[in-house]
Order: sequence, then structure tokens, then C-alpha cells
Amino acid sequence: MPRTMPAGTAAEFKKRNGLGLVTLLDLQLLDGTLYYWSDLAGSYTKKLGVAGAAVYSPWLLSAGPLRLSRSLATDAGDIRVQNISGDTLKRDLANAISSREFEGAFAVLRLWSLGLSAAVLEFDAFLTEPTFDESAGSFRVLQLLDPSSVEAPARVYSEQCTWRYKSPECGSTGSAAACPKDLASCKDATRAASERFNGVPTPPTVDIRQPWTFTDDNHDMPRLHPQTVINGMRR
Amino acid sequence: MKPFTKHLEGLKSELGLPVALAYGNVRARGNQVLKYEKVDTLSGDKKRIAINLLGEGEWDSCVRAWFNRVPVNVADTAVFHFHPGKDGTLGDGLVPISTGGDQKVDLFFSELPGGVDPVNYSRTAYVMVKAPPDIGAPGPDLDVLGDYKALKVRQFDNAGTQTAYAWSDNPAWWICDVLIRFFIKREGVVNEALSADEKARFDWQSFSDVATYNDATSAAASSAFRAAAWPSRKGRASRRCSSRCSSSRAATCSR
Repeated sequence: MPRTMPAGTAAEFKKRNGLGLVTLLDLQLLDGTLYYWSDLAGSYTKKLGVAGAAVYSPWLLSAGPLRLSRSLATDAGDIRVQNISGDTLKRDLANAISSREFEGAFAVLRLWSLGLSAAVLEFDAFLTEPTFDESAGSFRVLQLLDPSSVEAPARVYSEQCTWRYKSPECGSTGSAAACPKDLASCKDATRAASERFNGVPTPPTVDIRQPWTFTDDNHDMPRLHPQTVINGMRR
Repeated sequence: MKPFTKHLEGLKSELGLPVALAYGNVRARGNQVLKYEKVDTLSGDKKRIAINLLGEGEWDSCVRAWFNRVPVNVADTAVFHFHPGKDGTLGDGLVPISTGGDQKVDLFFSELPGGVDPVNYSRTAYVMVKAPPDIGAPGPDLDVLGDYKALKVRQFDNAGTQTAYAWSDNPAWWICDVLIRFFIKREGVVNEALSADEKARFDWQSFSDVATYNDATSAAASSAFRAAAWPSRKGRASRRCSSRCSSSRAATCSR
């Protein structure tokens, strides 16, 4: 997808001397907690939260390199964050990671040009693989559209229904709190969505190409001749 | 005998394996989940009733079909019922009344013995057939082979306004459909409208450009890019989508 650069970017980057790019990280945890981290402390226009500026704490040690691709290979990068501030018993980052869920947090990583007061690169991602030691922590940032974590096709033939109960595909508005996914339960008046049942409750197909034969040692139980072909569904 | 052309694929899926996603023109047998030999009480003929599940719906239509390589009239509702794989309609019940074209319970279920639960296989395209006696058949198998126009797909203009929901052999709209199914709207009824936020995930101009490019006709009046696809094995969506994207120059929005 073509990316439009801020006005004046070319002129700014042509200057023989200038200020380096500041890395800004806006972080929104699953519980709504917001963090603003940077590799240069200051007040910058924030991306997440109420519009306006925010004070970015200088916690970022490094960000990247980011691997960006035009294909659907997952764009990714690594960030390192300091784990020194705080006290000797509980450092700030360790305290935050142990008290809140960082896995899956929404992250917006920007390269901010001070000269332009604008971001020249923005990478929207989610956090994963949080690890930290005594002095630093690291995270991996993966692009929001992460096809490598999704299997396709998604649905398999099975005897039970595969829809999530009360999902749009299921359509049930019944009073039952849960669904065991079998046809009888689907027909039950507390669910009443049997028309949306997508399981395959039919008995397996059997082709008998040879007549039943009896074994020598057991005349009571017929046994299929070795050449009999059973052609049906895997159970 | 080599019945397949380069634009058609013939594959089979089974219980426990993925429900195939099929786009474009496909030649399919599907997954034969039921076969029952029924003796006609009047004529004494042995007719065979079979159900072949084809893939994830909604498919468009059946073009032609063969029973044990013998052509069959797919419009003959006494023999052949094609169900496109729509969502079942709540409140319809599971009464066998359908002769195809919808996702109600097939009429041939009424000819099966008790104990076989009539179902409509919601969202799964399938055929239910009642094959006449075939004394020339090589064995007890009933091979139901068909040419189908597979999945219907949403189509959009360069501003993201949906312009159609129809079968297409334009790969740009297949990619769009795959992205919608697996990433954008993972749950929803067939052809459920996208919200504004969901539409904002696409670069519609690029999809429109690719679709136009694929639709362009050469001097020989053949379209620039036409194909069929039937991924019936499990795999990572990134691989599925990347190959399709790179083959037709579509761009996706990763934000």
C-alpha cells in the first residue's frame, strides 16, 4: 500500500545537518492502561488515547530493525525497554509486567521527525513475547494482520457443529447458556437453531463388494472378508 | 480418459479434513458422506441415494454432472439436487422438502430409513442425488462428478462500496473474500455487510485496479487472468494469501 510522507519530508532529509528521528511507542494494554515511551524524553503528539500531546518517558533503549514486506509475510521487529528505574525491590518495568497483561497489547511505533513535527513511519502492531532481566526488557512487535497465526480453510467436516454458540452463523437466541454442539441439543427449544447446524450426523457410507463370510472359529459373528472395501468417512 | 482441463481441479475432502474453499470453475466430487441403495416399491429398480458435500458456501451453481461418468441432467429434480451452501433459515425446521437451489432439507431424506437425521448442512454446498440403476457400472461405487461455479464473492468499487455479490473468476475478489473470511469478519452470515471500520482495513483502489486489470481482454478476446482455486488442505493463511496476492498484484493494508 503506498505510503504518503508528511509535507516537507524530502526537503528536511536533504539538509546536510539535522536532528535524528525520535522513536515513539504508544502502548495500550488489554485493560486500557496507556504507556507512552520514547528514546528521547519529551512531549509529543500521541496516537492512542485522547487526542493531544503526552509526555513520553525515555524508556526505549532500541526499536527495530523492522522487517516490512509487501507480501503477507508478517511484518515484525523487536523493542528493548529499560528496567532500571524504580527501586531495588521493584523496578518500574518489572512491576508493570508482573501486574498487567502486556501480551497482545496494541502498540503504535513511530519514527518522529522533530524538524517536521510529524511521523515519517508508523507501524501498528501488537506486543508479544515479553521477556526481561535485571536491566532491560524486550518485546516483539507483530503487525496487526498476522496471517501466519491463522489456518485456512478454517472449518473441518465433523459430526458436531463447529459454529460458536450464538454467533451470527449459529443464529441461536435461545435461553441455554451453552451448547454441546450435537444435533439433538441444537434442536432443543432452548437453542432452536437446528437449521444452522453444520455437522455431518449421517452414518458412514459402506460399500460391500464381497458377501459376508464366516470365520472358522466363530460362526456367531460375521466378519468382513479381507477384500471387502469399506468406503466411508473417517471416524 | 482425461476429463480435466487446465482450469478445472478435481479433489476430494473427507470427514476430519477442512471444508474446502473453492473459487472459480471447479470440477468436484466432494465428500460422499452417505450412500444408500433403495429398492423402488413399484418398479423394483435399485436406486442409489447419495450425499456429496462440496465445500464452504455459498456456491453459485452446478453446470453439468456425471454419475459414473455418464452425463446426467442437473435440472432433473427427480435425480439431482444442488444446494449452494447458504445459511439455513431459522424457523424452517428440518422437514425434507427441498429439491435444490436453497438450503432447506433435501426431499430425498424422506426416502432414507429411520435413524438418519435429516439436516440441511448449513453453509456447506452439497448435492443429494438419486441415481437410477446402472447395469454398466463397474462396481457399487456411485461416482458423482460435477462442474460447478463455486463461491460467490463480494465485489467493490475503488471507494469500498459493494457493487455485487456474485460468482467471479477474477482472483482479485477471491483474495478479498479470503481476507474478509479469515481476518476482517471472521464471524458472520453469508454476504454480511462490512462495517466502516472493517472496510477501512482495505486499500480499495488497489483491489479495483487489479480487478480491472484481470478483467481486461486481449485481442484474442480472452481475459487477462482467469483461474480456479481449491485449497482443501490445512495451511497457514499467510501462504494461501501471499501466493494469490503476488500472482495478481493485489495489495493489502496491514494496519
